[in-house]
Amino acid sequence: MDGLMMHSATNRSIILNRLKRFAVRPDAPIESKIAKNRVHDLDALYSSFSQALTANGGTVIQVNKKDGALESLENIMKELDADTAVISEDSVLKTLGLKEHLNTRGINVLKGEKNPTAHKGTCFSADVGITGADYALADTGTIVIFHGKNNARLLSLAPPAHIAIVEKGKLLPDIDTLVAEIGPSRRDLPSAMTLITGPSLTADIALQAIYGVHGPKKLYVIFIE
Amino acid sequence: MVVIEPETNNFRELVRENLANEQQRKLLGDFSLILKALRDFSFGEMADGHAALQGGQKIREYAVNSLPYLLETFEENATKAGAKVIWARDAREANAFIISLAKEKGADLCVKGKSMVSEEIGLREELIKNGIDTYETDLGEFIVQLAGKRPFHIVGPAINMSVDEVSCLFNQVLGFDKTQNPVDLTMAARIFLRDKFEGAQIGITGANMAVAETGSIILVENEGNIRFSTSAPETHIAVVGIEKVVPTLSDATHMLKLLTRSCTGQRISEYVSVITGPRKAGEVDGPEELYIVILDNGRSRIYADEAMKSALQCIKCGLCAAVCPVYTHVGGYAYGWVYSGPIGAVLNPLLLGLGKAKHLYQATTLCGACKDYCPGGVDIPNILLSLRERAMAGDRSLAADRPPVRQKIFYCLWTWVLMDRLRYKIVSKLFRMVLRIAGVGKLPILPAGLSGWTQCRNMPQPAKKSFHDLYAETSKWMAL
Repeated sequence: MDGLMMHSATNRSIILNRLKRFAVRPDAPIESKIAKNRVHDLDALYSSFSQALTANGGTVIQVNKKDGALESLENIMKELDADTAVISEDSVLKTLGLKEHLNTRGINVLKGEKNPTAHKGTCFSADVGITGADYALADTGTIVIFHGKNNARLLSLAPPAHIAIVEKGKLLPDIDTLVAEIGPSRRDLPSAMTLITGPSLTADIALQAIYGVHGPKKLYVIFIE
Repeated sequence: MVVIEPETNNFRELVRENLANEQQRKLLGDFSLILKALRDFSFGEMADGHAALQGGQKIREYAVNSLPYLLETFEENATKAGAKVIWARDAREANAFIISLAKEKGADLCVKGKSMVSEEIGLREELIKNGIDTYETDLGEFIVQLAGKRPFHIVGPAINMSVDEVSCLFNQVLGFDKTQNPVDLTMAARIFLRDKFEGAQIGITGANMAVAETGSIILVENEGNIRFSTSAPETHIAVVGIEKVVPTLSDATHMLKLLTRSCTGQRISEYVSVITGPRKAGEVDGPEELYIVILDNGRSRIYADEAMKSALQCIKCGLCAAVCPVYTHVGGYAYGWVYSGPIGAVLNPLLLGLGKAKHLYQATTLCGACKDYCPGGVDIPNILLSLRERAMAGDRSLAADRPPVRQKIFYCLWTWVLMDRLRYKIVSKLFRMVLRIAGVGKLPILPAGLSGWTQCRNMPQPAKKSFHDLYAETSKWMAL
C-alpha cells in the first residue's frame, strides 16, 4: 500500500509535468459565477415546482401548517400501506412532533441508530423514509438535501418510499440560484449534496421507463406554507 | 469472467454481422428519432439553447487548456475535504492500487456504478479475477455483465437487447422465472442487487465531473445505484480520467444542464450527487474513506497532440452516437471496444493505438452531425481527418502501423503525376483510353486490386472529352 502511495506521488509529477508543457495557466480566479439575486414569487415557484416534479413521477402537496402536514402524511402512509418509518433529525420534522404523532397512529418509527451497520439495517428494512430538504428548485422540480448530520443519506434512498417535508420558503428558481445561495461557503459543502428529481428510474430494458429500480418507487414532497 | 480483448480491427466482420440484424436496425432507428426529439425539445425549453451549448463548449475548452492547473486545485481542495487522491499512469497501476486496497480492507463484495473509464481499464474483471465478488449495479450494465458482452451504447449499455433476451439471461444466470414484462425483470434485478448494496464493503464509481473550486466529484444518474454505491459501503473509490475536471461549481451546473439534456433529453436527471470528501464526524452514513483515483491511461499523449486535444473535451453524453448515420446503422458492437459512436471512432484508436483500430476513423461520412450536437465542443470530423492523415504517414507517436509499400508507391506516383501539367494531361488521357477500351461502353466494376471502389457502385464511363479539352474549345469559340 505504502509503496503504491509513493508511486502515486511520482506519477503525479510525471503526469502534471507532461500536461504543463502544453497547457495554459488559468487567466481568471477559480471562482463560481454567482447569479444575481432575483425577487421571486413563492406561489409561482411552487406551481412550477409542482408541475415539473409531477411530470417526473413525484407527488407534490401543499399544506397550510403543522396539522395539515401531519394529516397529509397520515394519508400517504395509509395509501402506501406502510407500517414502519425512519425519520431524519431535520429540524422541521422535530417541530412537527412527527415521531410522537406517527407512534400514536400505529406506525412503528424505527429507532435512529448511531452505529453505521445498524443504521443501514434500519434503512433497508423501513417502509418509508421521511426527511427534510435544504432547498427546492422550481424549474426542475428538484429537492436538494445536504446529506449530513440532520438528514442521513440512506433515509431518502433505501426505503421504497421517500417523503420530504419542506418549508415553502426553501423554494429557489433554479440551480444557478442554488449556487448563489450556497455562496462563499461552497468550499465547505457537505460530504454529499444530493439533488432529487423524482423516484428512482430506469429505461434500460427496451427503453421502457420504470420507477423504483433500486431506490424509492414513490417520492412525495410536502410543502408547508 | 474474462477480460474482453478489443476487436477493433474486426470492424468489417462486425459490421456485416450487425447490419444483418434487422431487429437491431429497427431499434437503432427508433432510438435515434426518439432521443433527437427529446433532446431538441429539452434544449428548446431553455432561454437560449444555442448560447447554452456554446457556453458549455467554451467551459470544456477552457478546462482542457488549463487541465494540469485545475487538477492541482482539485487535488488540494479534495484533500482538504478529507478525500485521498491517488494518481495512476495506466490501467495496470489503477487496477493494482484498487485491488491491493480492497485486499487490505479484507473486502469480498464490491458494488459498482456505471463508469466508462472502469470499463476502459477492465476493473470489474480484474477485481473478480482477484476473488472480489463485483457487481455492476446500473441495470443496463448489470445485464451487460451477466451476458458477458460489451456496452452497446455509452449511456444505454443494453438498449439493443429485447425483453425476451433479458428474460432468458435472468432465467439462466439468476434462476428467475421467465417473463415478458420488463417491470418484473427490473424488480428481479432490484431484489438481487439490494443485498449486495447492503453487504458490500467497497463501492466503485466513476465521476461525471470533478470540480476544482470545491474538490467535489459529481455523479449523474437516474436509478439510485450510484447513490447506494457511494452511501452504503465503508469505502468509496472513484476512478476519474484526468480530463473530467471543470473549474467551478457554476461551470459544473452549466455542464450538468447540457449533459442530462444531451444524454436523455431530461432537464435534470433523477439524482445528482455532489460528493465532497468522505462522511464527516457525527454523520451516520456515507463512506469512512473516499479514494479518488486520477487516471491518465494515454490521455496525456492525446493532450500533447494539438490536432487531437479536443477529444478530451468529451463529457460522455453519448449523443453523437444517436445522431451518427454510421452508428445508427451498425450499432455499438461494431466499434469493437469500450467507446462507440463517433467519439468511439476517435477515442478507441487514440487510446489503443492507431494500428489496433484501423477502420474506425475511415468508416465515417464526415457529415459533421456529431460536432453540431456536441456539448463538449469536440471537433470530431477534424480529428477523424487528422487520424487518417497520421495513419497514412505511419505516425509512430500514435502507434500507427507502417503503411503498406504498395500504397506508398501508389501515392508517390500519384503525387508525381499531379505535380506537372503535362504529366497529368498524358496520364489522364491514357487512363481514359484504357477505361474506354476495357469497358467497351459499360464499366460495372474495376479489376482486382481496385475492386473495393466499385463493390457497391458502378464505375462511371469516362466522358469523351476531358474538362481541359472542353475548356480549350470553349475559349477558342469565345474568342471568335
